[in-house]
Amino acid sequence: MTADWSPLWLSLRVALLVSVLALVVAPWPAWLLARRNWPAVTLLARFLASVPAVIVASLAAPALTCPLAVAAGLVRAVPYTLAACRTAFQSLNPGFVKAARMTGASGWRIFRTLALPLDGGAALAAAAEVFAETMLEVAVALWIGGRLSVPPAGAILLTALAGNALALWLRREAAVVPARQAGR
Amino acid sequence: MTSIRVKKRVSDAFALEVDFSLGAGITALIGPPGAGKTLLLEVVAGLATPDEGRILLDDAILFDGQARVDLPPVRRGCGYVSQADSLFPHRTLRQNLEFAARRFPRLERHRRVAESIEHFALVPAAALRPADAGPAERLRCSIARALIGGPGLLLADDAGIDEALFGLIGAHFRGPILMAARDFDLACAAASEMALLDRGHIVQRGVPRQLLDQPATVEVARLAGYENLWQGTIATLDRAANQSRLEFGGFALTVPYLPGHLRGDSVWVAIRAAAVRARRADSPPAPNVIPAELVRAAERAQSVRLEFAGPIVAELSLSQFAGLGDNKNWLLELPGESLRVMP
Repeated sequence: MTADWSPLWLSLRVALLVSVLALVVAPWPAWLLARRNWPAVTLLARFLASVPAVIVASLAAPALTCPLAVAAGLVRAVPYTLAACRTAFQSLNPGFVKAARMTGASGWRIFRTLALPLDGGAALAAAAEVFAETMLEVAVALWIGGRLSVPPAGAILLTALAGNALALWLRREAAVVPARQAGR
Repeated sequence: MTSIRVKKRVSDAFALEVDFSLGAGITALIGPPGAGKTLLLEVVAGLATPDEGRILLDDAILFDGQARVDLPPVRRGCGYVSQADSLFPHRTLRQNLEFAARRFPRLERHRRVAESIEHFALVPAAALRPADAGPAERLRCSIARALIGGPGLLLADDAGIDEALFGLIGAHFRGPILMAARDFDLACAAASEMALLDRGHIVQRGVPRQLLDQPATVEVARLAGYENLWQGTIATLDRAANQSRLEFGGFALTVPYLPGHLRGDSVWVAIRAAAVRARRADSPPAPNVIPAELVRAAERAQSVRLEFAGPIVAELSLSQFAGLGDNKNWLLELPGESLRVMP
């Protein structure tokens, strides 16, 4: 008997799509949020990022198709990435921003030329975490639906582990770079 | 004319409220940490918005609270060198300059960057990132970056610019400079005018020498580094003899007549430690000579600092101290011409 590997491909596809979309969508609003305080938005992002994965998974479980799973994953992934990026951008040296403003750089340009190159590592780390977490979420949903056998479940777990390892490594790199930037 | 009249309330305890005009040359803004020096510079640069007031640079309005004019930083024509190193760490020194010159057309931008690199002796370091360049090169690059747009006013926030560097700036930039500093020596050497900022207000301004020699208030005297500051009361006022007698806790001093004061008024007297003279106990009595008990003597590189009960601080040259050092009983002369009396 050969195992049905389609759950692995489905979770891989969903996790990749979710993390890439979160990476595309979240950093710019995170930059805007980092520079001024909108408590309502921050609260909403915090709340959505903390919705338990099982709830999202079981809501999506009965008819788990790729688009539906991606949409369900984004509900948590975007606020999570946004919060992570916001924290990273808040640590950007305000002197850099002032120096850039003195030269007439727009908010978008400061984001593109300073915030992303200097603190983009945190966004990548968050995306890797989102990837790992979404893999597991999809697996849980498939498990609840009774569509997951043991071999693909093991493969999914291993991939999620790899994603978390990547996130850890990226996070360490992101922490090392600012220390180097501080100069002597 | 360049003038700055602004109010900005930061908290219940602190508000910036200044009104002054800026002459040509270098104006040094001196004050303790937290006096509002950086805030004032940022308000002029357009990085912070005042609550009200008006800022003029060469008669152009940069900010007017009533008319709701608030030009963005880039249109104010101010160059700003911040206190901390703020070169972009992921770009080379040349790229930092290019970033600042981006608004110019390509050829003009290249010309400006090349000239700045040449003028500020950055040729060997231009291809280095800030972390790999030396602190002096980073500072010169920060200045070059602030000047590359051809500003009409340079704002320097306690960036560690020394006299030689001001000379280099002067060869390249003719406009006025407003610099925040904590260092009186540098302000005296480089600045043509000095303004003392304390708790958001300018407490005195003038030529550096005058400010140091004639402090108007006790705060200024404190900032100007007067080691001896005593509060006392006026015991007698004698206009005919041009004399006033001031009484302190343990001693009394005679100073010239103090116009505009009444007997019983409380005044402050300041004298620099270096102006206090020490005498042998057996020397003849004289005005403003008081006995004092030595508490501590600390040797410095070129002098000896003596602390007496009172407290009175005196600074003697090594040779003077050697001549008097075995003295148990000290007499201190506080020369009338070195005493500064303030309300």
